[in-house]
Amino acid sequence: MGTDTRAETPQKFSLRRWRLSPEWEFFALRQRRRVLLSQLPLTITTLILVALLAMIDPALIADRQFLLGLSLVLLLTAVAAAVPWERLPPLAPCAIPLLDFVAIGFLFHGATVSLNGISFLSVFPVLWLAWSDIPAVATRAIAFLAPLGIAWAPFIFAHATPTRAGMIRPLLGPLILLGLATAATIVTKSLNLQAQRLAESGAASRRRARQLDTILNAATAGVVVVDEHGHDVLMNKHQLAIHALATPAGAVDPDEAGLLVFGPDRKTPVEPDRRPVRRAVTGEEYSGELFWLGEGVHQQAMATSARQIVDDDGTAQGAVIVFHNVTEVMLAMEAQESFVSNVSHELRTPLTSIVGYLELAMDESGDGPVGAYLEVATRNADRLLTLVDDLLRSASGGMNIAAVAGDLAAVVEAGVAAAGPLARTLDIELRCSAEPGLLGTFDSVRMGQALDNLVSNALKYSPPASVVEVRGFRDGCELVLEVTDTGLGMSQEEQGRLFTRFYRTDGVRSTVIPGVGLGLSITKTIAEGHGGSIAVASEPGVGSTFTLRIPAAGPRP
Amino acid sequence: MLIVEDDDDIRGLLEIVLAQMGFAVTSANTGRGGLECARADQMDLVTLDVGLPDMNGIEVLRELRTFSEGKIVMLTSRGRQGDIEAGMEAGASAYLLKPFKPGTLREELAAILGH
Repeated sequence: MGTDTRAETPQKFSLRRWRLSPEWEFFALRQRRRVLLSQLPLTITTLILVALLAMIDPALIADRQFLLGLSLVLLLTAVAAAVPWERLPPLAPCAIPLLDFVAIGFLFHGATVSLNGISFLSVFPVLWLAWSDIPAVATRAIAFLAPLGIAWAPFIFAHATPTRAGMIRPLLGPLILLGLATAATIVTKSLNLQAQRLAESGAASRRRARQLDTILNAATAGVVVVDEHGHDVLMNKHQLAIHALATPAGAVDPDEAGLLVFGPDRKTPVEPDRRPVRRAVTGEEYSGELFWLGEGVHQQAMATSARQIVDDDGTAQGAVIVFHNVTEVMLAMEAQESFVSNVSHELRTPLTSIVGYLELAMDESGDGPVGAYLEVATRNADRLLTLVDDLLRSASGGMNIAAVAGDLAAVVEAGVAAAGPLARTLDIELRCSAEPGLLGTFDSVRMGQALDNLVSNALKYSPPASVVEVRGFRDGCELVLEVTDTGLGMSQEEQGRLFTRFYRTDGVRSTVIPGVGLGLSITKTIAEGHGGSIAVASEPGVGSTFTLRIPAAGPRP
Repeated sequence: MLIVEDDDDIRGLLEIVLAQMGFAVTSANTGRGGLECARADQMDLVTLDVGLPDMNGIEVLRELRTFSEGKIVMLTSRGRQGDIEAGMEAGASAYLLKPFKPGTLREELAAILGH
C-alpha cells in the first residue's frame, strides 16, 4: 500500500466501531425453520415426481397407496412447519425423517410399476438423520434398515411369499444408502468439530475484544485506531470527547483537516499534512508531540504519540494514535513562567539603580578603601544581575532561533577565547579542537550562548590544574559540540534530572560554586530549538562529557 | 535631549550620566509628560522607558515619530524578541536592555549618535 493511494483516500476522524457482519448460517436459524428446511427437499422432489408421473401415467396419481404417500409427505411438511420444536426435546424433530420413510414406502409401492427408482427418495431422510444429533451408528442402521423395510414391505405386511431373488434384489438400494449415511455422518462429525473450534475461537476473540474495550475505556488518554487508508476503526470514550472538543461549532463529523488543531503557540492552525492522524497514516511514528485542540477557554493541550500497526509480513495495517491531555501541566508551566518573568522584571528595576549608582560612586571614589568596598558591592550586584538574566531567559521559554548559514568552528573558537581569562584565573587548561569549515544553518548567538553555558559549567566544576576540552566536529548530517571536564561527575539519577530548570546536583549544592541551575536548561532549550539534542555521559569523581547535536541543515521550518 | 522614565532613581541616574556626556537634559516621568516636552522643544535624542504608568512606551514612540526625527532609544527590562521587533518597526533607533551600566550606556549612545 503506497502513500499515494492513501493520499487519495478521504480521511475520516470519526467513530466507526468494529462490527462483525451478520453471516447467514444454517445453525444460527431458529429450530422451526431448520426443521422445515430439512423437510423441503423431499417435499419439492416429490411434487416434481408427481408432475412427471401425471404426464407419463395420470391414472397412477389416483392410486390409493401413492395418494396416501403423497398426503403423508405434505402432512409431515405441514407438521415440520407448524410444531414449536424449540419447546420439545432435541431429538423430537427426528420423528419427521423416520415417518418420511413410511411415506416413501407408500409412494414406492404405489408407483413402482412406472418408476421403481422412487425408493431413492430415502436419500433425503438419511441425510437429515446424518446431520441431526442422533448417534452415527443409529443413522447408519436406519439408513440400511428403513429402505430394506420399504423393499420388503410386501413380505412383511402383505404376506407375499418371499423368493430368494425378491429378497436379494432390493438389497442394492439399502447398501448404497448405508454407504451414503456412513460418508455423511463422517463429514457431519468433522463439520461439527470445526464449528465447535470456530465457536471457541470466536468466544476467545470476543473475550479479547471485551478486554481491549475495557482497557481502552479505562485509560485516561484518548485512543484512536485507524486503518491503512486513514479511516477510524476504533475510538475510545475519551477520544470521542477530544474529537468533540476539536470539532468546530456547527460542523458535522468533519475530517481531521476540518478540526481545530493548533501548534504550541495555541493560535497557528497545524497544516493538514502535519496533523497527528495524517502523520501516523503516512507511516510516521512520534512521541509526546504537543497540539492544542479546540478554541477559546475550551482549548486543551494534547501530548500525542503514534505507533504503526504492522502485520506478520511487515505490511502496514494502520496506526494507533494516543492523545494525552496535558492542559493542566501546560497551564501550570505558563503560570510559573509568567511568575518568574514578572519577578525577574521587578528585580531588574532596582538592580539598574544599584549597578548604575555603584559605578558612578566608583568613578568618584578613587583608590582608597571605599573604592575596594564598592568593588565588592559591584561584583555581587553583577552576580545578582546574572542570576536575574538567567531567570528571565529561562522564563521566556519559547526561545526564538534565528538560524542562518554560518560556520560553527568560528563559534567554538570565539567561545573558547572568551572563556580563556576565567580558565587562566582558575588554573584550568582549556583545549579547543574544531574541525575547520563546520558549515550549517544555526543561530550563532544562541549556539554561542549554549557553548558558554557548557564551558562555564565545566570550568566551575573542575579542580585546579585539570583540563577542559572543547570539540566541534561533524557527525553525518549533524554538527556536534562536545565539552569534556575532569570535574565532580554525576550519578545516573543526577544525570536524569540535569536538564530540569533550577536543578543543581547534590555535590554542587554542597560546594561553594555559585549558580541557580538554569544554564543547562537554557542550553537544552537552544539545542531543541535547533531541532537537536543534548546528552551527558558522566561518572562521579571522574568527570562529564556534554554533547550537543544539531542538524547541519538547520531547524525544521 | 529628553528622558522619559517613571522610576525616580533610574531617571536620576540617566540625568547624571547624560549631563556628564554634555547633553542639556529635560525629563518626564509619564508618557504624556514626555510627549508635551518633545512638542515644546525639538529633541535630538530621547530615551524612552517601555513600561510607563500612563501609556505603553511603544505608543509614545509612535506618537513621537509623527513629529520628531531625532534618535529615540528604548530602555526596557523586558527583552522579548516580539517587543523589540515591534519597537524597531515603530521607528526606534535602538533598544537597550535594563539593567545597564553607565559606562556601557555612554558607549552605546555615542555609537547611536555616530560620535
